[in-house]
Amino acid sequence: MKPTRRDVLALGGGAVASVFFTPIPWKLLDDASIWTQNWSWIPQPVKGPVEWKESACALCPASCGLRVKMAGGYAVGLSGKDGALCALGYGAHQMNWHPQRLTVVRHNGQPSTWAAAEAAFQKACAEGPVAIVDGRPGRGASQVYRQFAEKTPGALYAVIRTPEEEALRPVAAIAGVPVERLGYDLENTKLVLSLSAPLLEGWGGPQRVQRLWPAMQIIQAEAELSRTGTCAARRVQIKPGSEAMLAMALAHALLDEKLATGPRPAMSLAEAAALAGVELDEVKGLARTLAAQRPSVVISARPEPAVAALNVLLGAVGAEGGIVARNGAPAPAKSMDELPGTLRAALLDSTVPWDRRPAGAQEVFRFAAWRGGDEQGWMLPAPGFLEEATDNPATGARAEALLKPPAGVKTTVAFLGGELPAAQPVESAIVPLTCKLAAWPSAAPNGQDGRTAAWTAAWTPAVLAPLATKLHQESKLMPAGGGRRQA
Amino acid sequence: MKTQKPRRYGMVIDLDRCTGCGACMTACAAENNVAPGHAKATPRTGLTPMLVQRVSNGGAGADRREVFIPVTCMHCEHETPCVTVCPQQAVELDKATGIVNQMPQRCLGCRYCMTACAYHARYFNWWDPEWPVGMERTLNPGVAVRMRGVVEKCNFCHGRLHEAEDKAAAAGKAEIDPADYRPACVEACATQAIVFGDLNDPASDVRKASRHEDSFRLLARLGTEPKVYYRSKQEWVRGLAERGQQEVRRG
Amino acid sequence: MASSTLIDRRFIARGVERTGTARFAMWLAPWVLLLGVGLYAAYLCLYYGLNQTNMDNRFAFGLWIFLDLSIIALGAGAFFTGFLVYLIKMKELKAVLNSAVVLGFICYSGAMLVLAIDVGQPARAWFTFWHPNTHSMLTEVTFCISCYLVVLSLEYIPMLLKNRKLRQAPSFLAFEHQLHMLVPVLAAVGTLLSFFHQGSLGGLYGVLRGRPFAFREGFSIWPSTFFLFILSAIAVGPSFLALTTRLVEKVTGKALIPDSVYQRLGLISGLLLAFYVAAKSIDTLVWLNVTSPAVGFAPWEHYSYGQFGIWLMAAEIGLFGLVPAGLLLWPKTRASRGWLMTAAALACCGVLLNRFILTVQTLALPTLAFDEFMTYTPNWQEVATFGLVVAYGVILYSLSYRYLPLFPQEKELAGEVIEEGTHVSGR
Repeated sequence: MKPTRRDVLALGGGAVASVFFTPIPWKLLDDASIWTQNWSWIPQPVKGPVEWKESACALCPASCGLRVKMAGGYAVGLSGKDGALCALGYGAHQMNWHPQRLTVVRHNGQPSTWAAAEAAFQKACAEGPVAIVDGRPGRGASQVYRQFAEKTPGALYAVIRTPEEEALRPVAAIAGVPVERLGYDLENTKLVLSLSAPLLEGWGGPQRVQRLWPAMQIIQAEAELSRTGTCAARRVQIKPGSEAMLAMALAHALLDEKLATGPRPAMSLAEAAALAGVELDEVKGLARTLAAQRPSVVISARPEPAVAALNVLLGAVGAEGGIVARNGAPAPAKSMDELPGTLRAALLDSTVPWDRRPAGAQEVFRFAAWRGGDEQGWMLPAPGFLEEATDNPATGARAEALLKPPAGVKTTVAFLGGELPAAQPVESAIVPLTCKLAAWPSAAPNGQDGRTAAWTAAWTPAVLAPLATKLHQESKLMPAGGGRRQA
Repeated sequence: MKTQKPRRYGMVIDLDRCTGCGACMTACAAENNVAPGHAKATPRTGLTPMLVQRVSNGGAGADRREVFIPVTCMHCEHETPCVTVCPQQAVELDKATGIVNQMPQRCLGCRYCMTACAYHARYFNWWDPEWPVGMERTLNPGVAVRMRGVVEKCNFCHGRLHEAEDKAAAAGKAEIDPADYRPACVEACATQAIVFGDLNDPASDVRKASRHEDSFRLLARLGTEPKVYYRSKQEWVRGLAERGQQEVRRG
Repeated sequence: MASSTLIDRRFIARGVERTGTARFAMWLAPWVLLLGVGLYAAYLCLYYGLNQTNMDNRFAFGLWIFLDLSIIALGAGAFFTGFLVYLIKMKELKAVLNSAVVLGFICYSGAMLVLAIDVGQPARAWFTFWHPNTHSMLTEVTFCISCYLVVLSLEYIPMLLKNRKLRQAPSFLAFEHQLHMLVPVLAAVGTLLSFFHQGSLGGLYGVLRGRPFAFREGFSIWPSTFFLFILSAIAVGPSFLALTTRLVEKVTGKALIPDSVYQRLGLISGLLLAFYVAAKSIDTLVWLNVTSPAVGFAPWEHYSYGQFGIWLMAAEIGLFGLVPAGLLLWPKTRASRGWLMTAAALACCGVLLNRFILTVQTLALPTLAFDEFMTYTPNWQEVATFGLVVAYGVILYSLSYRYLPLFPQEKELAGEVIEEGTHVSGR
């Protein structure tokens, strides 16, 4: 019997209808829906038992204690051990995979080799003089650098001072102690008068003041509203670049009100207050507050002799909660800016900020974990975040490397043929410091805007985790960490 | 396992303590596996479940005032706008915790919930999540990565809640230890501006803070009963709660 | 017209005149081009994701949602004409019924097409049927539009089967006859479905408690926009039908429906529009004085941003509401073909403006005290996808007009040349 068209249609229709009574369409539907929820190209987290390890962050001198969440041999989360981390810190474990990560030696922007870099460095050492620049003195590595400088003829050891240290130089000059030994005892301070210092924006380590504030009162005198000014208990509007004037006016007021004794600035109270753009009454009120709320301290972002003198008048130098001296500080060293005008070469440790290089160096060997800034000279790949044993000069604590560095990476210590010494706890205690102001400093006021350019433009996106960068772009906020640009 | 009595998790953010450092945003993104912004992403197409906004009073010089306002999902409790509008139940208000949850696997990406949210606290995955090669190894194992085409938002770090619950269950306890459950942003706040906890618990700090005379909620008059509270001693800041007549600008 | 050029004569109904095949192809060519560009844009959006558009987290809805709301409102003529013909027994309107069904089918399928591109995960769109949230207006919209599209297809198929060539298959003829008997039932079902989804599309915005510009109180679970959308859609549907029919008459140079039908469409549209304007005005007053202030938003604040001034409200209700309603209701202007068409066009623009305001202005306005007013401009991918729907509509309508009996009275009216002079670019 020949099938008719009707038969074919019936068969087709029947087949279509009965398919719905088989698992086929339902299984397909199920699979399709599962597929829409699991795309193979979407990355998924590493599986593996989760464990927490302790370490310290080496991205800035603050060396915050870390609790690191590890899974499958990778860091998958960070948490602060003694308080919260900064905005960069929470994404730091991603930085090792930053597209700008440096894993091959580069010379003037071109790929090169370790052998070539070593040969070039040896040649430079032979020709001399060579400077080893240490961005964070006092570590075990710093000892190796010093030893290298000592035993290599013509080699110099220099350090980078943080802006906070720089600002203390006038105090060091008056007190007659090395600036390395000075520091702020903010943990015991009741009131800080900040002269344009970005206290809550990374000053003295990203989260240091944040953790102390708001128990510690901040009065912010500044020309343009900053994040610190926003949060400060009180804000004083001054004219741009007039921080020293306000300091001098305050000195007059302290002396007028018999709240201090000592020499007076040459400029009169009225003149200084007018130049600062602050009413006389406000100056006097401020002086009374500073005296009443002791321990109080005045902090400026730039080195300002007038501010140092004011602190001495206020009795803040050498007092608890003020500017104190400690023992156990790294031995005094030349600042990079004090190096000779001509150098055959300079070797920069990976803690040296990107925008810093000795002006007179003919050839630069820069250790860095990430590319950024200028590519002149040698770029030597250094271990990244948690890839290198870190030691905290302040506590002497040493954290082992938790992550395996990529191939092609070398530490500066290894490059110099040295070996990290065993960690030695450093005795760090406040020692007495007496300081008298014989005469008001004659140095001219800085005159520039107290808020240094480094504070605002410091973080190049290239060295930030893409995540942190993007977040900050999106939030239109200034990144935390202020001027610290860390490679 | 014994069940815990219903909680109402909420937050109180002290705006006078927020320095705008942005650590909460980074911590949130890292905890929740938010991918780095796409090269073409703009502030309007990024993913910031926690977003700190800089707001000024519009003044200049000495009259200028600013405040940082961290904005996240408010976990509205009454007629939760995003829950009611979702056509396929991809958003739910968890009665046990008061957390508004988004189920990315269920979401079809219609974005109706985003138009419904008064706080702009919902974000769409405009791109496939992509990390630089190798960086996917840093992903937090407790949180699944969302694919493109779905909406997401703050869920009070739900992964952390699960971990705390697992821990309590392993110890045979019915109640989780409040100290075990803190969202990433709360933990990341150096000035401890964010207080988090169970608003139902009369002894909790968050409950006390939420009832403080300085506390307020954003757009409370919409009647959605948000569970994220704010605090400020500054009157102009408290005035930002409702859309009034005052001149304010984002900085 | 030389019959030799009609290669497709066998498909064209007996007794009607159609333009040469080549000329018809030329007419289609630019639309096919537009369709091609639109398909490419749609491919980009589906393959690379919605980052291909200019939408963002704030403007989560953009041009496409405006397009959806608009074409569904304009397509309301389909269900409403069916309702008038089969349920109210307004037999006269049978003259435009087929055309209305085709327009409705185009509008609804076009809307579905765009929605499929507009969602981030089209492959999961069916989850709505699996896990429906009965509280969501969008669920109602999805269900009703999907069902109504099936209804429209069932109404469209018999028309398709009336094609001269397809009729030759006896089983098709039988099938068509069966379907045809169903049509009154379909009209009733369609009316019910449309009533709900037109309303729910309005409700979509009316329920947005978080957007005080759109939020409205209402009756029971339905905000007032639910009813306003139904009303505006059925008010404008007949106008759109009159407008498109007139457009086809102009393009083909043939009279297709008697003047009385135009008058009837105009009158219905005018009456409903007047009713709509009244309801909309009351709703606006209630919203400005009660609903919006109650949630802390000063009434006039909504109109204090950028271009979105109070003039927009005045234009929506006055120029594009009251004016066309008056023109359509006053017999003198209604009798004039020019005025009738002006009024119909104004009414259609009015509904477009209303949908624009709800979709775009709602999202542009700030809610938080520290929000910014934001605007958005669609990019070429969005515009091209918009063009895709327009091109699809024109092509499908052109084909339907050419091969299917869209206007039953065309043959009777064949003698009447509507324009003095020659047949203009007749298809």
